Amino acid sequence: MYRYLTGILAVIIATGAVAFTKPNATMKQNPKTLSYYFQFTGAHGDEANVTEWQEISLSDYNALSCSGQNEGCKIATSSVSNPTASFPNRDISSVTVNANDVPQQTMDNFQVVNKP
Amino acid sequence: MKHFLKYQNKGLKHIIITDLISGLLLLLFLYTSLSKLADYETFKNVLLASPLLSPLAGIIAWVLPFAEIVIVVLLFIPDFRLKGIYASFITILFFTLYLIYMITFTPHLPCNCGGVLKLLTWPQHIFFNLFFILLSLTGILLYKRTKNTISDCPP
Repeated sequence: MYRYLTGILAVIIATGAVAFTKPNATMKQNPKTLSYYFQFTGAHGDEANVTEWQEISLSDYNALSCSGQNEGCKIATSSVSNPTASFPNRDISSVTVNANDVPQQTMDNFQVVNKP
Repeated sequence: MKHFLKYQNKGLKHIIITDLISGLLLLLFLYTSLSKLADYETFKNVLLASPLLSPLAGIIAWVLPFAEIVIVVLLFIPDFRLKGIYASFITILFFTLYLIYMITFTPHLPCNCGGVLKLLTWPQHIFFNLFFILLSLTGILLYKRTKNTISDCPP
């Protein structure tokens, strides 16, 4: 019976940990690439206007919850092939954003990821 | 008699250590599987954001947590513990290889993380996994040694 002891203890700790810590989807910075994060500051339907996207930090990006009507509430971009360049990483004009879809990437060398 | 006690103590020590190792692995797998099932939609969305796994996201989102629960059951029952440690070793090894692939080829890495794991960077996450890989290996070796110690024990 004592051989079940560590298992029982582990089950109690694991269930307690799940109950008290809520896992959530966070974006973690890849150490190999330079990334930029944007938040949509405009009104629903105006997602395609790139001036309505404001650059934010990774922690702000992770803290931002996408609720309401705006599908494209935040964007993460980075360049794999040219990680040090400031362009086009910071330029989100090549990203197609509309009110009904998540942002889509339109260039090969940078990736757009909407909130999972 | 002295020899017998020596062998018995050594075997007992190994059994206690392997039980502790399987307890730690059980804790890890139960926590991660329950986290995934508790927030299934988020976990599925994280898989959808992964370029490598997105085509199979719907299947993996169910299969992975249940596979982890099977490992938990194996680790819980003493007779199946060695199989559970083997399964843990293989699973964590795959997770680590996947992480290395993601860090190498993907600029944005979504993580369905909770607790301490949320605070870890990706390289730290890999070291975290490597620790559990080493722990599983230690468990396998000790388990085998325990069996040998018991079978080598003089009558």
